[in-house]
Amino acid sequence: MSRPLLSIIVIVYDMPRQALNTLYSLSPGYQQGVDAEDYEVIVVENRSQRNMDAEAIARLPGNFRYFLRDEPGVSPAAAINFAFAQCRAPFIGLMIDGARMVTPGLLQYTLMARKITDEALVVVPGYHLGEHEQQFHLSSGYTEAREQQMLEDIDWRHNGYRLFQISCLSGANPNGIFHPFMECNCLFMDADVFRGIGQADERFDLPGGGALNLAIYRKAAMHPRTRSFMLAGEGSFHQLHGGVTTSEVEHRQAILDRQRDQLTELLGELFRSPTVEPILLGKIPGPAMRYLEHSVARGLHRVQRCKERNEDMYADEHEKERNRQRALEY
Amino acid sequence: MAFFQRRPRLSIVVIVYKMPDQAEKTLYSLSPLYQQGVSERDYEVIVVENHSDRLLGSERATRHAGNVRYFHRQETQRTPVHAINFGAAQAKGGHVAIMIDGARMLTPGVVKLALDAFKIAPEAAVSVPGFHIGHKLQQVAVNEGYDEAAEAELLGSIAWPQDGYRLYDIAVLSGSCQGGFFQANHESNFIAMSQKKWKALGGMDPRYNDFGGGNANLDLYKRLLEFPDTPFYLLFGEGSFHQFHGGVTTGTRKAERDVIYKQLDDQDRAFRGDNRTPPNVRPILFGAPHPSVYRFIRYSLDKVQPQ
Repeated sequence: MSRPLLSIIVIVYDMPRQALNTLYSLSPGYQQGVDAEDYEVIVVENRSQRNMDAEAIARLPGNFRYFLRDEPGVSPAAAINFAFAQCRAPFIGLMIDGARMVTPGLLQYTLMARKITDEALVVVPGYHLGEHEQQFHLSSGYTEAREQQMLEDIDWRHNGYRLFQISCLSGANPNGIFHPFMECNCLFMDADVFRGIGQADERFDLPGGGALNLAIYRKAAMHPRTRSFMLAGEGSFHQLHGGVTTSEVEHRQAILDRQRDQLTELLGELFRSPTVEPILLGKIPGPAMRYLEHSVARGLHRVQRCKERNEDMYADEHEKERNRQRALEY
Repeated sequence: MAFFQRRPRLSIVVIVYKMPDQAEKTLYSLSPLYQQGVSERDYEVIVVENHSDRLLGSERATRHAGNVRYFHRQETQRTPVHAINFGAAQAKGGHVAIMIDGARMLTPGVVKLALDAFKIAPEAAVSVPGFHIGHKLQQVAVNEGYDEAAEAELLGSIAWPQDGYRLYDIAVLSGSCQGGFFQANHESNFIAMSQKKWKALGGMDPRYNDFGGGNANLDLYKRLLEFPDTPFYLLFGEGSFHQFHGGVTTGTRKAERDVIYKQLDDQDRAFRGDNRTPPNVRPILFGAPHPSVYRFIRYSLDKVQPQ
């Protein structure tokens, strides 16, 4: 097999059913407008009581490479770095949470952005399956069984864009695409950029990696050699699986506080969502229109607020541009 | 003279007739002084002016950029289609963009994004939505006294050309783009494609020999978007903005215009029969919409039913 254009890292821990859905959603039969040989998927699973069925993965069409590893800690950071070492492509995708399935145009538009520039940092909005965010699943009576039923009802394998119909925006991007994102659970960048930001910082040692994903996103977005692209008509959809912050657990606030403290310590500053200006790319499927409507309403609100406060909506983007110009002058 | 001149990637053909002041602004909007992220060497602008008593002339056409070539033609018919075909024949670029109406100025990202779209898909069709400067369509506003002086005041209010995206603050969607950004609409004043495709289409249909070319531009747009293997990229965060200039359909008064419309419509029907619906192609949206574009996205969302 020739070298693929893209290597996608998917990290799995204790979520075999959900992860198999995710992998299916990345397979060439489901993804539209891409060739199987254009990409590979590196699946790294940290061993748990409930591991994936390797044979089921092998039966999927496409290039999946599965690794089951023993992880002494509770963070996916080392698994990400292990996976990165396996990647053969110069362009990588990072899905830190294997429970997030994706829409059918994801890879087609991601590869398009890469054709425009090697600097493409491709960002995909995040959603939660269900009417409410899953950290409230107990209160809203949401269960895995209910979710499976909903997925069956929309026949998602043949109608991937109908995922938009049974979801809500995730807390990482509650205001939609014209607001800065806190993080991105389906993020693509040049392999050198990932290397340049120090890969996954293994000091993020809290369960689930704590705020590791926020740090990765911020560092990648602020990297001088990235240009943000937003796939407004695509999405990653979180399935309920008892994740650290994506299910309703006791002491959630205490967990979040601890994550935030670690993030501040390791970033060396208070975290801010990067205010980079994305280039939008893609078709907007009908079921996604309502989210765009929400984005516009929230975007108009943000415009007004920035005007009142005399703030630059895309301050980080402009700072990056100034730095670039300075670098060119030297 | 340079020993080696790189071939421009895109040739933009702009047609001018009796609109020197507006055309000069359009050409400024096409210059690297205003277009962001591109240099003079990336593209060329071919200005074809059909002779009139109000000429733009070579000096004004070329004063803002070194990548402009100017052609002054005598035209015996009242149509721009021959000028367009002539202009496209001069093109050195691998891709051509047709701007049938030199009175339409652009936003600052059009050229860069068009070039980027062709990196993704060399055989794509690329266009930008059309707007009219003013708070109403100009064919309506003209009946209420809208004129060049009113427009100059509006442009002054946004300090054009300082921030080209502020054009959205003083504009409305043009009549042929009323369907918004999520469908193909009827036409565009920036229609770009590969040279190969331009040749395969046979360029503009020379039979459209009436006022302003009649529906020749709509015909080209439809034939292009419906051409096999032609993904359609709409630069939805960019636009072309029509300046008032007493054009046939945008600057004449209603009674006179209705007669002309009928005449143009009859000719179009004679050529195309009833196959004149807008191309049924969903655009791939591409661009970074300025906050001033948000309200047009909202408007566009209202125009489509979820599919």
